[in-house]
Amino acid sequence: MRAPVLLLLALSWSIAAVGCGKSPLVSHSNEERPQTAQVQQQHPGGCALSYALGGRGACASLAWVLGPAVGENKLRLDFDADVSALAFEATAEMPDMGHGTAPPTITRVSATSIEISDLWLVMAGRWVLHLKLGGVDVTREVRI
Amino acid sequence: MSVALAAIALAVASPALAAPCCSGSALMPALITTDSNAQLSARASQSTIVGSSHADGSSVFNRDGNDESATTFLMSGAYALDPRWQLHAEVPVSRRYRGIDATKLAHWGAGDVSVGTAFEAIQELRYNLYKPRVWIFGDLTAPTGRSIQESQSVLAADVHGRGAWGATLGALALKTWKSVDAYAMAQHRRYLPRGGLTLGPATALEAGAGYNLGDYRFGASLGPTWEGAVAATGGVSSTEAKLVWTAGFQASTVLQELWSLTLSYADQTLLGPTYNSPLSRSATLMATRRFE
Repeated sequence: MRAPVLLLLALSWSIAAVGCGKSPLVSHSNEERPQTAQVQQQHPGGCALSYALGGRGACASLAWVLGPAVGENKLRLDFDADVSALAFEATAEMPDMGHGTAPPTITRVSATSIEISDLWLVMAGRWVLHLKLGGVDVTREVRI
Repeated sequence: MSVALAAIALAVASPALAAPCCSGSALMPALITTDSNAQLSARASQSTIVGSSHADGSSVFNRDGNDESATTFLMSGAYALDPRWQLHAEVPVSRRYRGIDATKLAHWGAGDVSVGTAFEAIQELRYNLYKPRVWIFGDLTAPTGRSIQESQSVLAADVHGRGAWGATLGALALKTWKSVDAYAMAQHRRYLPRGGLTLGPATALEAGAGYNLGDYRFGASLGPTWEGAVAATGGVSSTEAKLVWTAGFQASTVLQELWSLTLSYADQTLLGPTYNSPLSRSATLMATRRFE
């Protein structure tokens, strides 16, 4: 007689636990497939990234050539000035989880354009891009 | 030997404090809960990351083509020094697979090795209807597996450990009533700083019950794992704690008195709330040989 009572208690406890929380299985969205070869102009004609470089500034538009999505990403920065003499670095981090990425490939397409490829974002969530030009770090947040 | 005792010993060998993120060793120690002098266990598990929960509590399941899984083999042993004290150790090896569309990477590597001791704080010399047997255990985990901070893979497929020394303190309470058994487990782990990185403290709770039918036991368990944020100097800190609930189901049997076999399934998608953590499903087969 004791066994069924204990089992009933365990079952009740489990049901209560289910009722108290938000089950990921019941309440979730599905990851979307990344868009490929489609340029997403985030700020067409505008200044998405503003760099204060000493006495002058630089303005850049940011376009996702691939992504943003889990997996490989590629983006392009088009500046309004010649930035070929300035060092450029790009990294990404996922602050909530404490993740970073392997260093992406940076290609100088022209004196005013830089392409960032092989940027692998390994899981869905909030990522922060660090786009560092001439020692000035400008960040952009993206949610995938 | 009681089927319940043998089976529970297997059932609680769950990856309770395995990192909610990015691998880690199975940390519920291989306790001897029978009258054996020693035991050896071999465990093979296959786990799949099916999605992740974000810091706001929302969950996203991975699309087709975004695949992450791990096959883990774990050898563990325990030795009774006397009727109350015992030693144990665990050595994991795993193959991690990560694929995103056409890019697929797999990597074999050793996980984090752990050693520890346990003390039976409350014995059951005479049967009592309410008083459980209770073990207190302590473990030390060495960062023998490559951590995500040391990863050389663009998809972090080569991550097998946490990257820091960890110390765990926990307790297991176990009680049987004829053909029914129940257990409760609590453990807390802290990490030493390493390379400017301090992993957040982790706490796991788990409770379970089982029903014994002849040489078989069928059980279920449930528990949360909470892990604090990562603090880093000069690196990437995490700003949010992780919470995940693991529901488990087990079927066990005892073969020829000294051998035990357990098949278990653990699912982190069934119950919530979950925060800031990958969500996995895993199946495990475990064989244990006792020595009297």
